[in-house]
Amino acid sequence: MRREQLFVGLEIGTTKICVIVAEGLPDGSIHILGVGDTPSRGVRKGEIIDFASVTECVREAIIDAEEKSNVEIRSVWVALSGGHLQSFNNRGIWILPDDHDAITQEDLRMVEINAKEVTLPSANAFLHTIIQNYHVDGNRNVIDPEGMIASRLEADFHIVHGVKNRIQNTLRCLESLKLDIEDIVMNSLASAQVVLTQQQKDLGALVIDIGGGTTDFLVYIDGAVRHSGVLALGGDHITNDISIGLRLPIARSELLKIEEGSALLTTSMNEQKIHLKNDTLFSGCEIDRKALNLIIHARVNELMQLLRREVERGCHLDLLGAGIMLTGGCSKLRGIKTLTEEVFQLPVSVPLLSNISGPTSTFENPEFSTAIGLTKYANAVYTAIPQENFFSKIRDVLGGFFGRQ
Amino acid sequence: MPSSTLNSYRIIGLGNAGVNFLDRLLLKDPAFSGLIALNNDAEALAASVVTTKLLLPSELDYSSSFSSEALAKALPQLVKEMDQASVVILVGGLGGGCASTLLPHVARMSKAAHKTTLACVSLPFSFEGKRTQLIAAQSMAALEKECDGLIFLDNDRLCAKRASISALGETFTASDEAIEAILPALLAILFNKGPVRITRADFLKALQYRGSKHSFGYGEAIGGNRLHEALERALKNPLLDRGRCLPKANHIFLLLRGPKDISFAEVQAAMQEVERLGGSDRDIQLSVYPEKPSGESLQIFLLAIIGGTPAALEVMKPLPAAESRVPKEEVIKPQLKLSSHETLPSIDLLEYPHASQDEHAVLESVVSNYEALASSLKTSTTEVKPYSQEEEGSIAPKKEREDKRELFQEDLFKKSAEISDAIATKSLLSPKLKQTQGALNLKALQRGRFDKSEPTIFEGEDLDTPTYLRLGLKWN
Repeated sequence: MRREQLFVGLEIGTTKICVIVAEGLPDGSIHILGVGDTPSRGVRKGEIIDFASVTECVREAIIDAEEKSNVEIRSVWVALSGGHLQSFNNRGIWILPDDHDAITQEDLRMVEINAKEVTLPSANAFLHTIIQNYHVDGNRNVIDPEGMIASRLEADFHIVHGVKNRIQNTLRCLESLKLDIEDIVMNSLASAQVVLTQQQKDLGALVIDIGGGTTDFLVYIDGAVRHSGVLALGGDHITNDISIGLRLPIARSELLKIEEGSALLTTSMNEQKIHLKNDTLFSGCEIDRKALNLIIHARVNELMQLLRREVERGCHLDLLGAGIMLTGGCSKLRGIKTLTEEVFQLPVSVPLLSNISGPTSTFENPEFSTAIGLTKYANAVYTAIPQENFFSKIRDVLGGFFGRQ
Repeated sequence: MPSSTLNSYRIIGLGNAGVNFLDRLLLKDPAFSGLIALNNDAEALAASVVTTKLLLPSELDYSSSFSSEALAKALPQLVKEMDQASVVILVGGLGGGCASTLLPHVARMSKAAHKTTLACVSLPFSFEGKRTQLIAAQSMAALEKECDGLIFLDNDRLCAKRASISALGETFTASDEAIEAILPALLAILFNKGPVRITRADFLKALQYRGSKHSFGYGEAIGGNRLHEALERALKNPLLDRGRCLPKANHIFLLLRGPKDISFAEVQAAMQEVERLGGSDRDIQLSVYPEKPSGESLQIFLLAIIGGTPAALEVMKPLPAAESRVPKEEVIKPQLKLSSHETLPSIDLLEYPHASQDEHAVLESVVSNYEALASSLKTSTTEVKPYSQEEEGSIAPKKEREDKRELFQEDLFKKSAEISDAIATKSLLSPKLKQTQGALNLKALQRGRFDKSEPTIFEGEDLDTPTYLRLGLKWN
């Protein structure tokens, strides 16, 4: 097996840092060889706030993954999140020169450059330019125009951008560990690779990845990305609310959320008490289940309402024929699926990751969906782009961040 | 006025304190220009780092016949410097000799030259003696008439909460630092070229409230959570008392100064926080001055004008307000009318059924002090008589009569202040107001683990604050 078919996905999350080593198979599926993870320190709301701590945590996770997979990790595909990420759709237009008889790779590149001719905030840089569809001489929804005879080429792109310095902080952290960066991928785009099938992408689907510090979302309609975004709200906010409302330590609140919390309000919970056993530096107490669930419901309901408004800014909910897929660590919260259905009035599921083999405990856990999605994304890029172009693409992406805008 | 002078200023520091303020300002920011040190102490002047130093001629007669014309004649360079500016700011510490005497005259000179004239002065600490306090009060009254605007720093209020724990040097440093923060903020408000400004007329009009109290705070922070940190530091200033004084303010000025990347959300969040603390009916004026390169610190200056009477209205009133710092007989007379059958409003501990044990102890001590004050006032009003009645039938020497009159006025001035404070204490402790303050604090501090991180602002709302708190949900 050629070494290039091994892919490593790294997610620097707010609650944990996760490394997945996977092997890409020719049919597009992946086989997980090993997983390394470590609790995260120095990350808040998906962004690095303590460089040294994060570097140390990443080192631990990498070593863990190397030991479990028996693979020496030299390069990684990195997931990126944070409230600074923004997106918009734009159309590029390219009039083909008279001497061209057919659309070439160069024309496709020029139409993409044209679509990126927009004024971003001075501190921002492009992260993704994702093709939606091409229009050749007015003929809409052309999937692959290369080789077609035309005089005018148009293309719709979904463009994602973020604050350059914040993106570079992540890269600098990995550079200090002597790791090469293959590509940077937005969290939700990576997650969507494993939670959505091609059929769901065509039907229209919304992926909501609720992590510790951020909630990332991505909308697929007609097989293309139409809208995406990040809200700097996540499971940590629920924990924080519980901690303040019930006057409990953060660690105890986190445990309470996982073990007892629910986003649903039911009449049966009214008189129920939850007894918290005493622990180190915690003397134990009894709390009302109603209070706990009310706090969680208020936060999750608000998050979903905000998400609905954000999604509706980019697309109509009726176009989401396949419904909503919830993923990320917080999707395991009781009642969150039902509450999301109530808010969006759409079917919601917490799907199993598709086309994955390996340790089931890994791919059945939605916490790992982004990191696994990264490897699947990498495999897709690797198989779709010829070897020669693959490295030039990577150079282009990284060039943008290291000053070759 | 030549156009070149339109956007220029001169800051004149008078006396030792004034020159000291300028020195501190210059040491902090060596690029600060337009500073003039004016003193009668040649040694102190020589030690100053200010470039333009003017020594007051010793041959000048500083008695009652002293005039601003004489000063202008003696110091032609000062007149020349004033001519080159559109705004003149006078700085000094009141209560001493030089600044207290000269500030009103320099202000008159500046006004005569048609310059916008502001004064920024510090009042003496109470331990500096009654005479010093009186001199300061008289000088303040004169300055109020001569200046377009007057900002003063009440040192006693500034250090009241930490007087028992601070070293003397620290106390003076706190005072210096406060003035040090005011001056750049004043200039930023007056010469703001940013997108959001306060007009000079509005600003000066607010500063002309006679008998008002000025509370201000300054905070500076850098990084992701700079707005919250800077605002928190500004509100921590003892004069602002964590924003508790804002609901009583007639005017609140909020200045955001710093990097060019000050975001709309930050400005919005700052305004909302101040409005939340002060109340939506307060007159809050905002000035945003993004002049520094991105990445520099964000500075917040908050100035509240509390109480007092607008200068325009005062002209129509027959008597000055009771809070005037000049201990005139007319001002104090209404306080004398507390006769033996009149009583002060009583404080009933039963009004505070929900007070904790500790709060009850505090309340009891307040009540006992209040009652002692009320009884001593009754006694004093029957015993202390105006000198004219006391001396009826006998003619005391003029000097003796003047001394007695002065003592009498001082005594009444003090009593009047004590009564006002006692009544203010009672009103502060009234259950209604107490509840309001509790609610404000609760909301402001509940960000938990996100306290130090960049806030998640969505449509003006800080989403890091628990949702149930923002919605006001209760489960009991």
